[in-house]
Amino acid sequence: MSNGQPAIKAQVSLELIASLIICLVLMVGIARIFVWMNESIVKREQDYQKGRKISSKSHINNNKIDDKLINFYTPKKLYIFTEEKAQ
Amino acid sequence: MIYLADKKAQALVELAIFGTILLGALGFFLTNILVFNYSENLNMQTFRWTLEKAYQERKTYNNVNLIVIDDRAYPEFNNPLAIPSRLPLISSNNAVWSNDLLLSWDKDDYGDREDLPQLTIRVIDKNESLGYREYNFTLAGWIHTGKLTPSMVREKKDDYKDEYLMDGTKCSDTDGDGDIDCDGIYWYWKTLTKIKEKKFENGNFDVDNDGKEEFILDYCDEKQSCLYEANVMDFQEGEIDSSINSADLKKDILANQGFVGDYQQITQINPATYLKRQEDKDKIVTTRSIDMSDDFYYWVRLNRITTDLINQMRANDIIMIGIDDEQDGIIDRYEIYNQGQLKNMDVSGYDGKKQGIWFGISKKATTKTYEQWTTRY
Repeated sequence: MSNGQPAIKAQVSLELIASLIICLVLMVGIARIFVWMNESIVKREQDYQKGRKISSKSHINNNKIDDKLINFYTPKKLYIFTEEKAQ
Repeated sequence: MIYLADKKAQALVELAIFGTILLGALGFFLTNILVFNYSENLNMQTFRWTLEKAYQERKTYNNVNLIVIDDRAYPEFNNPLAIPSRLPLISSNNAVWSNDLLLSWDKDDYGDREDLPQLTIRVIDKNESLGYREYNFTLAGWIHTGKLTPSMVREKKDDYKDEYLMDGTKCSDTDGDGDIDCDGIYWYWKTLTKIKEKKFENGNFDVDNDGKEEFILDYCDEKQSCLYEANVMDFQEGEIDSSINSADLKKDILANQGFVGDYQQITQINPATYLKRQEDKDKIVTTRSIDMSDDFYYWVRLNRITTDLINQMRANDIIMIGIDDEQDGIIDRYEIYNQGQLKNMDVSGYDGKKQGIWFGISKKATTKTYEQWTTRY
């Protein structure tokens, strides 16, 4: 009760529901970003290790290292609330 | 926490406050992870490029020293306009690939710049055909000595019993308490009594009395009826002297040379940078335009200026020379020259250990974006 006006019923519950939904969306979004980042770091390391042996030999034919061994990784697109389209 | 019964949307207001803090923290983590990621990527690329360069220089006997400099734009979480900041990234690596297992120089290498040990600085620049530009600095110079007599040549001798000071005096117990009174080194300079060609060539001796060894490439003795002169590789005569040590710094030699991490960044935000919000009855139109440039100067401290170095300079690269007008050991002013001016100058007299010489590698990065979006309600 305040100022003689009746309080809105279940105000706190309604706000809590709205807040929880927003919190949930935020947390899912944050989690997806961090999962994507970790995955990218791991995949990049794998790609780097894959080119390890080749990178010591690739110069021999043309005196120049293969550009694929310099720019060896491009991270995949980040999808937060949609699924990645099948290739 | 006080429960404010007469205020509406208490929980949402709290969420708005804590949510902002949460998003700020997220932005902070994202920015830092992104910067770390760029840096790791550059480390990986640098190692591969070092392998490539080591292979290209397999006919020499030198360790390839490569420094790669890049600059990447990254968003700052506390910047509402989202004007990107540019961050310089630096990575270095070294590798050796040689066809000669003995890793030594030949007599006919004398005078060849490519056979000298070098420091390579590669600046990533997408405007270049290779995607980068490169600067090579020699770390030693070829010197032809005058006539050498044994008394002019010193070699390092190990002594595991006694300690010596840098000037060659043996540490002793001056106050008679049974302890040696100086903290010295376990080797000393021994002056030769005779120069034996076989031992002298391909050895390391001090022939110019600077307290540092030179590599003796070629020497002739009396059997060849020559002038008792030697061709040496002097590690104090390169464009960069990488042999400066703590003993030199005590003697007021200006500072360590090479790329010591000094850089200068000038960010210029042009008038075409703005954020415009136009509110209508049913929509808001937001326009974001960014037009900015960053000018970087990466400073390399030099020992000598050479013609080869001047030829490597690009349009905006400069060399800054400290001038000591009063000859009191303090730099009074700096003179700045570009490539065109240096080509018409006699640069042989400048000495980086006495006056300070800085090579400024210039890099310009521009950012131009234009976006417009509409929010309807």
